[in-house]
Amino acid sequence: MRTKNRRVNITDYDWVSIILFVGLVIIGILSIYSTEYNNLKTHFINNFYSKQILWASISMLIIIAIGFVSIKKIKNLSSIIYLAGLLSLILVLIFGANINGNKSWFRFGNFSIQPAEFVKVTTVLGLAALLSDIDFNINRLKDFAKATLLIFAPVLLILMQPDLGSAIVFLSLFLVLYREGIDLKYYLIIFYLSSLFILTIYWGKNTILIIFTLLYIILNLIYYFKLKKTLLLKTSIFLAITYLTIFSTDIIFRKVLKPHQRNRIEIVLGKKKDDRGTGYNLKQALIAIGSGGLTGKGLNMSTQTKGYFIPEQHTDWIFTVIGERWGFVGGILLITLYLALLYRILFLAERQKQKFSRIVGYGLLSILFIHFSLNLLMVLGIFPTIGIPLPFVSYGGSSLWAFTILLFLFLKFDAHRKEDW
Amino acid sequence: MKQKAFVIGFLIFLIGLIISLRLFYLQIIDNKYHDLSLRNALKKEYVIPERGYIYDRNGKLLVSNLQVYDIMAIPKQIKAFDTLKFLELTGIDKKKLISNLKKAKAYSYNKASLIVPKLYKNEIALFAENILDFPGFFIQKRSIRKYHTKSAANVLGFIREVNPVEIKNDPFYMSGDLIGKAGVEKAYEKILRGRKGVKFFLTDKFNRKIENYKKGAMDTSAIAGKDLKISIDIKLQEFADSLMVGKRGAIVAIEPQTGEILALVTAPSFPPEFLSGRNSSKNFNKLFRDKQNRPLLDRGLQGAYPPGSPFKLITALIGLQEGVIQSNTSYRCNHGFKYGRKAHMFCHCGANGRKVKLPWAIIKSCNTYFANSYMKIIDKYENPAKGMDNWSNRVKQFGLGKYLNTDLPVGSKGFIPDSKFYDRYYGKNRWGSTYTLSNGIGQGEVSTTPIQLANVMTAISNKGFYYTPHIIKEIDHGKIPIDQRFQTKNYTGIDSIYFSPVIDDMAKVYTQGTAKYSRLKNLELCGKTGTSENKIKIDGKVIKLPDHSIFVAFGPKNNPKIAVAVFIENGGYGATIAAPIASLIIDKYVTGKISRKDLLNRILDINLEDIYKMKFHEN
Repeated sequence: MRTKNRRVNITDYDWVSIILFVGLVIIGILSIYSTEYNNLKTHFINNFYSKQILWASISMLIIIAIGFVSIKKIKNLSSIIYLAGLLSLILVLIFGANINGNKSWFRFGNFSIQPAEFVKVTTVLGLAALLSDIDFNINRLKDFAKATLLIFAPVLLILMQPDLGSAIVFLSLFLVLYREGIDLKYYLIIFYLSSLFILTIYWGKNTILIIFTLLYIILNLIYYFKLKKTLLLKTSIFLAITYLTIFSTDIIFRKVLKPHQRNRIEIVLGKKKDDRGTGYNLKQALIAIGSGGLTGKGLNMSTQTKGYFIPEQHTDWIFTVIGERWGFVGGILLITLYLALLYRILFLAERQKQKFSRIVGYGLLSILFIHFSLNLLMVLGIFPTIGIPLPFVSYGGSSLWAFTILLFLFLKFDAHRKEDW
Repeated sequence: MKQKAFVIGFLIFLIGLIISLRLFYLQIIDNKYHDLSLRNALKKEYVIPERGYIYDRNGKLLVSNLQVYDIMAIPKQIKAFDTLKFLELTGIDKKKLISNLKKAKAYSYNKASLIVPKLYKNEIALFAENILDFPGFFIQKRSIRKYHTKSAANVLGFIREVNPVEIKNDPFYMSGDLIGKAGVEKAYEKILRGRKGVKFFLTDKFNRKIENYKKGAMDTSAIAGKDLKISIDIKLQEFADSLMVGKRGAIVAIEPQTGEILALVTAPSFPPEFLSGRNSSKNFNKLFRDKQNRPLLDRGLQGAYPPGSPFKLITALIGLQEGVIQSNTSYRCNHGFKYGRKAHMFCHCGANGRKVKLPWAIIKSCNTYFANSYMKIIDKYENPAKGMDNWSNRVKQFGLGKYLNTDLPVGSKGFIPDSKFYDRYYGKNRWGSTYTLSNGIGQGEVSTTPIQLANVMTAISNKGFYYTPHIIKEIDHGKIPIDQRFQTKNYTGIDSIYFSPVIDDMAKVYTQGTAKYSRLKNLELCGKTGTSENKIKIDGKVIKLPDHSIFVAFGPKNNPKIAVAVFIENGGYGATIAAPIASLIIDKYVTGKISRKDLLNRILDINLEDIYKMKFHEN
């Protein structure tokens, strides 16, 4: 064990992560530049890419500031920080600017901030504080309920904005709970139920009912005649749950979901063709990416990007620029950088001695991972269209700063991992 | 706990794999997206070339182009505007404006629609100055045909927008393009239309141009259509047209040495600009629906009628060639010809029981002589079927009973019967020459079109051959050769020695015969009158209408410059209307002036409208 007051050098920061971070930010700025290069505004600062450079510069300041804060203070204050995050979500519902029917933004003149992005940081810290408590046992129902409540509090507040994309992101924190002791089987049950949900929508209620009922009968008959055993009780409970899920899915899908949400799901499942409305974005995105080919069409011939065929291309759909301009090579490069960053964080998280910093690492990993997965799966047409940006790459100050804070807090914890704090 | 990290690591790997495979599929395997992206962004813009001009044989301009201006609008961009001012500036009426705006909106909010069509330069000027007051509106230039003659609509034809079938059949055309629909415009469409230029642009989502595609490397420039010189003599055509006022029928004039059509008049007709200006579609419908006058029918090319007496010339020529008649062959004519117990063919040649030889027969149009000659032609062979087919083939060598294969897009075969036809009609071996006797004098089953008759005249004047009649004279000022078929002689199969006596006798038609009153002082002409009967039924009773008046001629006799066929529906005896018209045409063409003003005035005064009206209403 080293001395308590060992000085931490700049070389103690994990440079692999920092290089990957810088690489992603640069790819982001280049991509944002591509989306508007054809119609650059005369004033440098009015362009998205120049603003993104500004946001990135501010990120540098944030990183330097993080270098000076005391990690101990942060750890001690993390519960309060979590509550402050919730407060910001309440305030935005009251004072937020109404943009396209969503109350997600604080507006200060020309400048807007999205609190939900920062709440990702505060919630991770709150979760770390809760789970690292010595008395906390995740497998105790009361403690599990506390953790679940902690995660769902921001989810509910964000759904009131409403911002489905940001809300879903918080569910990834259940990955942290898995790491901290929840059994895999619960996740498999959840996975089974969500599969049922999708299949019910895809095949319709009746088909899937018949399939599962037949499976139930056949399984029981085989067991009874071949093995002379009965599985009736277990399989019956299972079938009942399945029935319940199917019926509730049907009701949720037809009654609870809004028409546009229903549309998005149906389009991704291939049940509906809608190239004009909700499906337009996706169709244009696929054209952009698909036409990129192996090496891309280059800046000048990226017709989808140049012709503004993809709405919101500089934010959530930024990957379409990469796919069109740099092709499969560029796309794989980005995916590789991302996977490398994720694995690096996984590696760093596992080497933490402190539970607190490990949970922060896993929190960062979970949120980054779900952003990466859902954004790319959406852009590539595997997952329904929801508003989730690609961290570090998509345009936007709030998102960049929030992820920078979370990443560098964790890197700072990691740099101090050998200390006892 | 390391195991849990491993599970999470595997999950990351799984998602990374799914994403990479999907990306691989989209970018490397599925190759439809490149085309889709070009379909989004790549837009073609066509540069319409100027359509070729049309000149007459003497180089007089007949058809050129005129810039007109359409007022277009994009409904989405229209803001509230001063309607009154708009109406004042453009001169259209309010109802039309409102209905066109409504139509435009129904068609597309983002695409341009036509609001006011075909304004001339002076009509658009005021609006153009004030265009800024009408956001969403813009002016589009386009070209329409401008005609420098009021005649020859049937020859020149017209252009209209292509229909979907034409677009499908020829990839050259796109919706909105113009195509020749009749006459020369149709026949020489490919030469007149030129070649479209194409410019490729990259456009954005809003269809705004961003830049030239590949810096214009794939663009092609438009090539203007080629000019045509047609064989029509427009002065002659206009003159012939003026003679047809109040009459219905056709005049066809052909230059015998070349087969070039000098005039092709059909009546009633309409000025060509009728189908070019602002009301062209309305006018077209009007013409199309006019079942009484059928102005869109080219009677010179399409009207098949019994030829009447001019056909006797062919009977004579075939008889001479077949050796069944000679110059001294004679038949007794006693007001007609009895060829069965009750069958009798009347004759008004005035021989009164004397013997008739060929000259008299032609000069006085003796039915008896030609009926006999026809019988001999058919009965030359034991089997009348063989005789009939021989006759039929010989007649067809004059260009009758088949398409002449001119370069104009319409025509009619007419009809020349053969043995098969009569076998079907009477039964095999159940007919003989007497059954078909009327054919010999141009009645019965034979029918011909005016241009076919004019062509027979060229064959006679050339003593045995003709060039396929055609309207084209020069393409692109001679740089492109005209079709070889118009420079090839078509032989009639009649030796030239047999033509001389016939031609001599045709000249006597003017001096002693049926066309005496149409003779010209300075020109020796050759001609033949004809009359073709026609009847209609009114209340079950057959009523005889005035005969169709027919005359064929060529001249001057020793150096034929023009062959003419004149056909006047219900014009009566051939000598009364058709013959004078033929004389006037030949005189006008050969001498350039009219030596017989009396004939001219008489013709101009004749109006047969009343007969036509009656005929139409009773039908």
